[in-house]
Amino acid sequence: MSTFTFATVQYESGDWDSAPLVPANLIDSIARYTEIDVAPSGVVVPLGSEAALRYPLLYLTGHLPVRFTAQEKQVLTRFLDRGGLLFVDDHNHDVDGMFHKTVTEELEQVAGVLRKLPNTHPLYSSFFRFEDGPPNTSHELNGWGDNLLHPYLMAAMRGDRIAVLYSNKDYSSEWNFHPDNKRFYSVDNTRFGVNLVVYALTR
Amino acid sequence: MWRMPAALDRAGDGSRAVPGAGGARAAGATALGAVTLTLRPPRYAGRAVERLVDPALVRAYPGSRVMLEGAGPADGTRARVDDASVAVREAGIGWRSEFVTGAARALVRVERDGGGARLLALEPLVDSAPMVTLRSPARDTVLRQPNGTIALAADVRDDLGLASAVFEYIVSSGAGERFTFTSGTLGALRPGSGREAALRASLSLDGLTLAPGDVVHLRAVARDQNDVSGPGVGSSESRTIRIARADEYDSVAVDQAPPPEVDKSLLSQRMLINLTEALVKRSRAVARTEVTAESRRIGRDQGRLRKQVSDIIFSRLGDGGEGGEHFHGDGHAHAESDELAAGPLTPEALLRAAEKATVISGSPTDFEHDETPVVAINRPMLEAYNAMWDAGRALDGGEPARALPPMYIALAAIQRARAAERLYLRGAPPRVVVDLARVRLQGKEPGSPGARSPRQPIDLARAGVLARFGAALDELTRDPAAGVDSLIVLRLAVAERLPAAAAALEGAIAAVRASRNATDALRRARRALDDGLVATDTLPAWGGAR
Repeated sequence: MSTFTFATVQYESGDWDSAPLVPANLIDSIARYTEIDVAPSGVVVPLGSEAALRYPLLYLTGHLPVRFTAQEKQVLTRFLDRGGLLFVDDHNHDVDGMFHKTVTEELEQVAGVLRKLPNTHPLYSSFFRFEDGPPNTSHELNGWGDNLLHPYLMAAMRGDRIAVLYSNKDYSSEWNFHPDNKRFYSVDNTRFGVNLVVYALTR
Repeated sequence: MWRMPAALDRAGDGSRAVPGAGGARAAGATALGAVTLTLRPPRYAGRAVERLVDPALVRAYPGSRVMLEGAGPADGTRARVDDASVAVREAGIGWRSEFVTGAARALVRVERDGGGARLLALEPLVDSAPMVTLRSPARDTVLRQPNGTIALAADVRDDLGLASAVFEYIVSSGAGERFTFTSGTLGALRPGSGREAALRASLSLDGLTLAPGDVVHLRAVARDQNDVSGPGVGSSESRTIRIARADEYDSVAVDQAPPPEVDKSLLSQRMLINLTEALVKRSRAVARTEVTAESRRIGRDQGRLRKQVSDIIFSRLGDGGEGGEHFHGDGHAHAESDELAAGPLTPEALLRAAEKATVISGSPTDFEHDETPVVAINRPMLEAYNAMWDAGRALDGGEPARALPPMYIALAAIQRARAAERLYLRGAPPRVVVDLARVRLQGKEPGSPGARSPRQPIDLARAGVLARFGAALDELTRDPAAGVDSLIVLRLAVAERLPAAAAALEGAIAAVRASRNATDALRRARRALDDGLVATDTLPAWGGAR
């Protein structure tokens, strides 16, 4: 079995590198809770490069407007057709923000319509069980961004498989801390990230 | 994917051909005759009406109106589009049926009871989205001042007809976690632009009241006239215009900058090359000894410069591992055998390290892909060191012409290192390497247990008491008086902890002294001494402070 490497997408527009500690944090969680053979550090992969096709899961985030280039759209289409899972998180946590407006527009051009993912979806029980769907973030609970608690994630499907998972919940802020600080949490808030990786590797 | 309609797939598996098309006509029935198709494309297509007789295949834009006509009665004549029935009406001396095409392939079947049937395939034409090319601004830009006007130009083209086109802009302001956005549109397509148009506008930065750090995102968007399945929307690539912050040159997150050192090396190497080239030119006109002496002088300067380069490399990667982050290929030792782990290097060792770092599988170093900036900077310096070593040897040997090629290589390597210093790879995030073994609680202990000795069956104090009891019995056989004394001392020792044993010993002592059979008493004493611990009700007296 090959080693799983967490890949962050670098796209030409926007601030794709706004949550630099998320990869390490999720890698730590994968090592902590699973026996998945995981690389100790993540990689940054340009979305316009065919290198993106090597990874089963791509993580995309940012605050600024996202406009994919033609090459990026082409690679992303191939990535999704080949069974990849793109996880997109709105680091703005703002449905009125330009990241949300632009990236959803771009994603729907490439992957089709984003629809609400039922909170009973296997994603929420692929490793840890989340009875109420996606776990809330402190950024939602503190009323930052759009001041909303988003009860669902959105997804574009390929058959019965999630191809694009879109989050307004700002996991990028929630998970953007050094994994050594996880010991200060009574409940590890990155556990949903483990579900995400396990789902991407098994579906 | 198109599937055979259930009404035509009588075998149920999609494998059987449609029966009845052109089939035998029942006696007395009116033949279906020729079917005339009139195709009226949707308005957005801008195409003329077509009339076809008995077509087998018709290509139509979604939303086209199809009219089928033929001779004979409408009664008994049926038309279907895939599985859906279409009404057939009387029209003049014949029949007529109308429907609108969709966006998917379809099979049309017209049949008459006992009069035969016709099949017609409908193939949808695709209305492409407009193609938009942004001509100006041609590239992303950083401006010092948020004022002035930017000319915008784009070319738009559509296969059928354009409806609208505009420039879209988004202004993002803020940093970190706080961003605000404003957006708007500029320019408009002239009415009746047809299939191609040039879109022009100008963007006044003054009107946007931009602040330092703000970013304007620009693109052109066009829509076609498809009002049936569209409109198709096409957009150009985005351009960004960023207003520079006054402090942004101070905030570049690079390691403490060695550029002055590198610049100094670069200048010196270039001067050395100049000197060597001049020496090579005049070498034919001067004596060999003079050439050799001058060459060695340059060689000494080359050696000093090589020393500077090695100092720079040492300061970055010969540091013994401070900082804690190591990357594959960064020169840090990950194995005990790696020479770089052993502290300061001899020139030969550094040269070997340079060889190792700069040559991968016999080919020169490639500074692309997922290498870190650390690698991107250090490898050229190692390559420069390597080349300087070759150049120095040639110069010391009085052969300046042979020294030049490696000197050029050193210069080029230093220039690459310099470029890597200048180009901060924006977005190269802090690379945290997770210690997987620590997270998975896999310490350095290999897990093999050490040798263990079996536990004592009883506690050592009890064992000592039993040993003393055994010794007393031996003593009784040799010297009864001495044996009794030993039993008395033993009774005293166990009186507090093992009162039952003490009582049994007392009986045994009395029996031996009275010359009676003491066997039973001694047996009880052994059992009592060998028995479990005895709890006492009170704590023993503390006697430490007498």
